[in-house]
Amino acid sequence: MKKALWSAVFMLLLSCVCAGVLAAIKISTDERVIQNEKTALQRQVLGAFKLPDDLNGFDSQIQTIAGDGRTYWLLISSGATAFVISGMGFWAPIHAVVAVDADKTTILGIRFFRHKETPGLGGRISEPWFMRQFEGKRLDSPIRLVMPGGQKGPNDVDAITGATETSRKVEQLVERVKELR
Amino acid sequence: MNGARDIFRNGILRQNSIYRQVLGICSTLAVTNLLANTLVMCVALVFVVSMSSLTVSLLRRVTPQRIRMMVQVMIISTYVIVVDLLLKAYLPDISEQLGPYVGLIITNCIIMGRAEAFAAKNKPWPAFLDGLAMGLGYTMVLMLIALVREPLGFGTIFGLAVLPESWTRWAVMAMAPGAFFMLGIVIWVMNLIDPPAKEQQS
Repeated sequence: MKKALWSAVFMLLLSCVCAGVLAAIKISTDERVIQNEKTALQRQVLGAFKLPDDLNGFDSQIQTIAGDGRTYWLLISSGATAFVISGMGFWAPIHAVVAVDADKTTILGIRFFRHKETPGLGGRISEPWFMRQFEGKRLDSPIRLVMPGGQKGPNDVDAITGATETSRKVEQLVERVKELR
Repeated sequence: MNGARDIFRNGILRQNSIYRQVLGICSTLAVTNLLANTLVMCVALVFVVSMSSLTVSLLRRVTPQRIRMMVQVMIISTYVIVVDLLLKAYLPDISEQLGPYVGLIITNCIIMGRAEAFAAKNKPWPAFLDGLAMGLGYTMVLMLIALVREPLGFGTIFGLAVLPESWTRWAVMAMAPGAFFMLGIVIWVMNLIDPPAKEQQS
């Protein structure tokens, strides 16, 4: 009986110590984690607007507008806007920041971030060559991902070889830009 | 008491957790396609295994026998969450890429195995060294696997291009099956170089 009691007391004491340590670290890093997430997103926005990767100029060039449960960003000099789109990928959701020009007819830039596509295959959607292809694509006609090397219209982009499913999901994701712009 | 030399020899070579004991394979398969991620994972594991061995050893006389495994898991998971929180705060990009695998260090058999097999029966300093040695053995094998997988799978080493743009990437090396092949080769080669002692027939 005494042994069982000691077991319970020991476990309780240990739990308190462990929880205390974790709580202290969590509280002391929280601010930093939130700041990290914010700057990570801001860098994607800069990328989508094709601005230099310099966060110091962020607030002077871009107005952040939060409303209707969604945040979007306005590039003050040209009136272009950027916003986050999300959609299902192959394994898990893909999130992207898309920038469109002031009259919302053309994609200025797109940055895929936070996705779990297969490394080396679908994961290549966040490589610059792939994202650059969307610049200047028109939103009033379909943007299609086609087989590299095949017939390509002015509004088509190269899909990723070996990542058929990811390419199809990206096509659907980009389609959503039209609803949200 | 085992000397430090023996502890390191055991941990890194004789009883290497990966190629000899074949423990901790989940993370071996999952994170070894990029060297930078592998290095962070290995540092995290070395920290967790050595600190939890030390803590388990310090508490070994007061820990009630019947709940010792619960105690070990509690200690291990505390250190793992500490690492996870620190990575999120200071290395957010790598934390994002490692995803759930840092948290899964809790279930890495190497750590609980060392706590139960060594730390619970030995003094704190040898227990700490044992954890360190086991972690370094793990690091050695994982870095070796990553050093092959990253160039073949992505054409880079630590993110720097080493193979020409025309290099056809081996997609299989970027995915988990590539690690299976590499792990098999490592076990084979190490068994040739340093054959395991004959197991005693019971």
